[in-house]
Amino acid sequence: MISIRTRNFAIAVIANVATILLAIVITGRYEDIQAQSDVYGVIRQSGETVSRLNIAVSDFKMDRRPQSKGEDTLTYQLKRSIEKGLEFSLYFNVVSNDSSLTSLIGKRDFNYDDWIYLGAEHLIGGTFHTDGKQFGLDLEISDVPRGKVIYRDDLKSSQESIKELSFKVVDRIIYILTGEQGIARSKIIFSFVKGIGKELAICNWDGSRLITLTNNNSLNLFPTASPSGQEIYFTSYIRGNPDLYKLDLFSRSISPISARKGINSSAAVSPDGKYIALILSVDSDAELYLLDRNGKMVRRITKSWGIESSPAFSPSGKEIVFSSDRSGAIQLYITDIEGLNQRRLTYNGNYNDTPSWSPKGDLITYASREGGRFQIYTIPITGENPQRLTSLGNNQDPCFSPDGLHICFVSDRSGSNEIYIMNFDGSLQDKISSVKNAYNPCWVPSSDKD
Amino acid sequence: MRILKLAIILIIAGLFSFGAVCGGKQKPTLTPPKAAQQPQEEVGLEKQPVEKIEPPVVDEVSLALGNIYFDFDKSELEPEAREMLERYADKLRENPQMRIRIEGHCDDRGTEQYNLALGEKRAFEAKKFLMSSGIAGERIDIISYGEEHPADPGQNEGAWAKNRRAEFKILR
Repeated sequence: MISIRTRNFAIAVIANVATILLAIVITGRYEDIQAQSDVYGVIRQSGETVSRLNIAVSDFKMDRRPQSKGEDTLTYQLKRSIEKGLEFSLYFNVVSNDSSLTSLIGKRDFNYDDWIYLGAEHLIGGTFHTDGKQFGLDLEISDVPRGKVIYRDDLKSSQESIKELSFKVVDRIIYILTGEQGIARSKIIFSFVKGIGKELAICNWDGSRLITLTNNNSLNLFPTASPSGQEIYFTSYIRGNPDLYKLDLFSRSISPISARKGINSSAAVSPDGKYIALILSVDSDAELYLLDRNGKMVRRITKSWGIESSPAFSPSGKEIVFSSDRSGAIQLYITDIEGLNQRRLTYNGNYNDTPSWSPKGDLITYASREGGRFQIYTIPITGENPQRLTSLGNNQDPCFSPDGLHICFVSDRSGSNEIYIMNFDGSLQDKISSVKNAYNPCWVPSSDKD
Repeated sequence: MRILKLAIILIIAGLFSFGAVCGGKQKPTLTPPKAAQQPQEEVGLEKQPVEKIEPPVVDEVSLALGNIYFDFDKSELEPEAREMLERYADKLRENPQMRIRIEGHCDDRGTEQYNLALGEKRAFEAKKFLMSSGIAGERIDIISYGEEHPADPGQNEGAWAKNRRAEFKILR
């Protein structure tokens, strides 16, 4: 197991280094890429809106004449799907080529001057190909003002899926132009009511490719992903008691992790994957504990009168935010993993729970009950000026995306509890899945990294 | 032995998925991407966890005396709940072999996470009361179902009041 992990890691490292070297060799502008990455880091951390790069996606060529009408539309579907992914990422403003310019230049292909005229700084182009088993794009990224191709790679989907190919292309473009890991290939896991129980399901960030992961007619609750994106920890009543289990997304095998007396609830995995924060009631009422990844006890973190719940790790892995009713109301607190330096984070309202810590480090999102309904807030880790992001219906269980730019949550604003996503500032709130009675959505990082 | 079992299950699962992909209609050279994804999704839906986990063996019968009820967001025992618990204590004294399980529940106006802990605290308060009445702790199991099993799915004060409860089951 360890050797496979080590090998995968080694392959990932080699692939990353190779990609970077390739980027340096082809583009000769490694410094530019780094500089842009820093700019985004600074902009994001000061809480400002990300300034977007102007990018255009040209019509893709095909490596041969289309053989059918359906085939003809594939390149257009790919272009649209890439454009949607780039817009969603928040790093780009997509410049359209469906403009009046087309009538001016007639039938000839766009050249760099045309794209400059349209305001594009970067241009995505390439040749689409298929071998009947998988789709591929020989991707080209151009620097428009310099008038040259700065990156080229042949990307393939593992099956005949335009969407999967487009997600791969989008993440690669983000990595090459910003140095950041995109989330186009990330997934969202959640529980939903089925029969007498709740089962777990997983889908793409846009709700597509929905797959049911459990079918045990029990209650399967609070799924949370390991940082590798390969394992899901969740609480289940499969053996009667609310115990903690691990589900391997690759093999689909389920194994028990913590089956201590009482509740084994609302797990969080540390960013290095080594520790699990868990709510246990084995010694008294519900308290916060630290376990290793296999469920072995490391230490009890809280010792309070009252209930502790809903831990989430800071990106450094050194701190945990959790809820506690020790003050008489349910409020958020931050502790280090040794259990020292506990401080109260929220003072507004009397029911603040289910926090999620932004991977960027600066914000915590949580649900706050007001007037009998929950709304989603973000609060800086300094505790000043919490911002309300939702207002329609009942909104719960917020969870940050792996890039910290998006939040998934559940809302009953259109009748039943369904999964939504929005930007970190509350803009563009969209229902992604029509699965009814859905709960506890949690973002799952992609196990493929650029 | 377990590895062998696992391998067999994986091989069977593999054959099934092969069958699902090949058994369908012969695809033209290219199909729209949605249709192309279909077989794989179906395999995902059918796929079962490899490790089979045994369900609990609990033979349970509701005690006819009735539930106890709690205030909103509270786990303290109200006077009516104490009276009811006295009757349970009598019953347990009359039947020294009897073991019970107390199940704690909540209404759904809190978070599921907090309510799982609150339901357990409610069951624990009931257990503590019975123990203080002289019933041995080993005879009383507790479990929380949080807000997952409402007695009344309604969204009104009457329904919520019915859901904030502890139920009593005989274990055999």
